[in-house]
Amino acid sequence: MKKWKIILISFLGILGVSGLIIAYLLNKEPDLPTNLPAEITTTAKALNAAFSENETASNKKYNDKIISVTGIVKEILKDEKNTTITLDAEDGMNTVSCSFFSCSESDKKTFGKNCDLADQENEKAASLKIGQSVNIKGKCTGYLMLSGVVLNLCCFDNK
Amino acid sequence: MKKIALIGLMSLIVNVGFSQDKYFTKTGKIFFDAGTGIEDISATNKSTTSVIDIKTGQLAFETLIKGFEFKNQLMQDHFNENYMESEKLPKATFKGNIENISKVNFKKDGSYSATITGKLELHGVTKDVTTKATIKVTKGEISAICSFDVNLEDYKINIPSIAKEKLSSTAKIKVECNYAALKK
Repeated sequence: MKKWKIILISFLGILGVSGLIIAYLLNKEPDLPTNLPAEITTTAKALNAAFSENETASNKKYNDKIISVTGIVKEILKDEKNTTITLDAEDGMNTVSCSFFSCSESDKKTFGKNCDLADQENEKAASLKIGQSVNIKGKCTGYLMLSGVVLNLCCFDNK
Repeated sequence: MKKIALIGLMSLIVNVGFSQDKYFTKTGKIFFDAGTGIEDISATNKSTTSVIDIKTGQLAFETLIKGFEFKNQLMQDHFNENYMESEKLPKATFKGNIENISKVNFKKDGSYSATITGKLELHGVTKDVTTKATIKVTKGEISAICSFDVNLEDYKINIPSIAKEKLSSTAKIKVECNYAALKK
């Protein structure tokens, strides 16, 4: 095969692969923790205390990480679709808020099978009882002065 | 400025105590839409904290920028890293008042039109905001809905020329909160 043909085929091949990678990145949906391992394991009390003592350092350590938290259910907050479980941090009003993900019709097209898993977890969260001990994992988004640590896209951590 | 805003937020609860005049939520929703119609550039935050004092009309909101969920991971990353700089500026706050508090009867079921004024701190910039809200009272429960526009340039959120076609210079914000009486 002539040299220029090899170069042309290689170039088109690289172009094709690059295009696929770019298309994948442009359309990649956010990961749901249902199928991601926890990066940090802790308790609700310890997680809240860490943020309460040094928010800036804790933002660096925990934000965007999948955290598995053990705690006692303090509140079960439901709206028409979503369930939020707060875990007692033994610090007044402050808790670890675990927001479960409930899929809308348009989410189902985006998240596919993960959406069914997330919906199941959301339903399971809605049936919890106050005072129950649970392990929940979710993506840490930070700390609010009036409510404590917030975890998004939560699911149960079946260790 | 950030510290002053947060102290102000905290003082809303601490100064007036834990009376039945305070209503609170940890699950307030903020919807954000900055698309121009070419692409869906919208996100939802479902973990906004808000407190409202039905006696004085004072209200406050605090939300985490990283808590906005997009349907596309790359878009979410750009939002946090390039536009909102959420590592450096992780929160947005609003502290204000219901101006026509006397027109809202929190003891009687109904839908009331309210005028809210206050200061929105976003991306490290604080600006005055005035908006209309609908407050609903149903069997002792309070819900509030309001919408307003945010001019991104006002908050030093710069849009690169390459994204100007897809990204609107004005973001539409919608806030929905269902409050419960604050208990210690």
